[in-house]
Amino acid sequence: MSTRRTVDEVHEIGAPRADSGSGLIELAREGNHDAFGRLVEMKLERAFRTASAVLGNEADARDATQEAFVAAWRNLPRLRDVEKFDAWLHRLLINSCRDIQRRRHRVREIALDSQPLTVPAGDERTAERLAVSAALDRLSVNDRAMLVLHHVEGLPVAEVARRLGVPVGTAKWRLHQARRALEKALGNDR
Amino acid sequence: MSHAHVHLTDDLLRSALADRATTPDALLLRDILRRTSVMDQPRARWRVLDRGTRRSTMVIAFLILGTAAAAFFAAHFQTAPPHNGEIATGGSNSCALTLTDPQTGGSRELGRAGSGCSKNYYLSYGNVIGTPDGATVLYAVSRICGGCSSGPSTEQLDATGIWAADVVTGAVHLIEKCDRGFCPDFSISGDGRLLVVARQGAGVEVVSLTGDPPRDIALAGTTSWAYEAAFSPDGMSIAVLALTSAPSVTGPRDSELQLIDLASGRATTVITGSGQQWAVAWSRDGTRLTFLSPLLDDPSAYATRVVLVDGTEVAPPTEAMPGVVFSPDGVHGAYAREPGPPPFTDYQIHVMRVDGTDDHVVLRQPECCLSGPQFSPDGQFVAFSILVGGNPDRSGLYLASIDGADLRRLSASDPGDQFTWLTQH
Repeated sequence: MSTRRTVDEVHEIGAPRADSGSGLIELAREGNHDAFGRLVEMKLERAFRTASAVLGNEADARDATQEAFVAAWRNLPRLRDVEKFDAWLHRLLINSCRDIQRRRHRVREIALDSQPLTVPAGDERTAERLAVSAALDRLSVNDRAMLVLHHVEGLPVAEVARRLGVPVGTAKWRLHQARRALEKALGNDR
Repeated sequence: MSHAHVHLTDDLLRSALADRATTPDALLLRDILRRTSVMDQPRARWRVLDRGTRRSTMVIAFLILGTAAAAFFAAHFQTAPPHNGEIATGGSNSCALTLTDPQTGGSRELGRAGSGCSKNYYLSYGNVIGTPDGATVLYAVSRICGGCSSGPSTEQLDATGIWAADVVTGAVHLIEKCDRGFCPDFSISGDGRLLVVARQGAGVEVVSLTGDPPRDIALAGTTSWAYEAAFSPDGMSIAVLALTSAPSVTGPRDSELQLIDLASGRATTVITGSGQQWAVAWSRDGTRLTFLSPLLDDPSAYATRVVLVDGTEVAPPTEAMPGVVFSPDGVHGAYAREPGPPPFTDYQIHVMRVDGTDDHVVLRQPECCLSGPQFSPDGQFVAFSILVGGNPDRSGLYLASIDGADLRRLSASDPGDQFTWLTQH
């Protein structure tokens, strides 16, 4: 029996499913590019925000986001459980960020200590934010992704764990480790 | 350039990350759609099956795997069920461990760790472990730096460490101070006489709970970065997970599983793994070790591995089942289920027989978050905690019989997963 449906039909099924994108994911998985387009529209901003927060560079974030969605389109037929789409897309995105980061490191090393920070005189808060941002660049992509999920997307630890597919205790530990790595990168534990 | 000291608060971190997080332009959407529109999707073999066949296949696979897992865990992990005692709860922002009587709901505080604790000091009471005889509770008090407004105070550092509390008298005594207030993982031997502490950067330390001097044991090879340690059931060996090199801020974190012979103090490497392994545990007969291992192509996903003590892989890696715990009598399993799809309104605690049958819901609620569950020592009850943001009336420690009846809220404070059900002393 054919299960072909149109994108508009999916949006008429009901608000919760349409909002979550489950119907669109199923259609896209069946090869419907219009549905995939709608899906990209829904997910693009969050994905790009995550990539740019992780990579700290718009051009790199643009590449990583594009590669992640291309990989998603190519691999969607292999996604068994549409309910895990968000977690799956997040993994693709972080993998893309990692690849971009590797490539970038091959091109140029970031010599943190040689890059003076230009900060308006007296603006301590801005100086601190820049220092934290510079320290973030020294963390692994995984650590940065943990911090972004929790602090930018505002997910509670249990949701972070669900998104990553790991036990809650593991998520807590990894978040703690990421935080410690950041403290270390800031030189706070010397 | 060297940075001046920056005190890292949640607000500062959020601001710095928000500065970096930008919004995409319309061209990005166009580029993605342009590229994907000319790409064919490979047809997955899985998708050749219709939905009904897929579901049947999954059920059959689950039953086969479930039965095998049940046999394995029943044979290797079950222990004789003792009588139920009190539930010891830790958590954050508290000053002492609390014992709650599951029968009456009455609770009492054990003695306070340190001298100057206050709820404003952001201490975490974790790694709560009861000794096998139920007479003592061990726990670690760590500082939570994220909430510190002005760094650790003397009083905070005074309270941090690994502590032992007498269940009857409530008296506490310090077993071990923790480096900079952050306590590492530890476990207790089956006879309750020894504690092994994974000392990051210093191998492991075996601490006697009966007054003998502590003993430092070096790891094999060049690493000293132990982060998990677990006694074998006979107490003669210690399984250790360690980083292969000192943790680097930017580098990968590969790890290895080592085995320490307690009599000789000699450590040998069992397995060297890519990425960081987790949650090492022994089989009941001491012949096998199980742990979680990151997948090579996706370090954020984990698989369960089972190896012999010589490192021989005895079971192929299987998809990790986080949160599944088995009752002490080996009859039941329990797990927390946090299903999609968004907006995430169906959180459940399940109990099933270990052969995968009679899987039923013990608790269902629409809001995040559930922690636990843990079985009672006699295997007839499960305890779990609920934290509902902004709803203290709903949050707390709960208890239910394994058939889902007798659901009760034991206390209003949420301990997260920092609690343990003691055997009756």
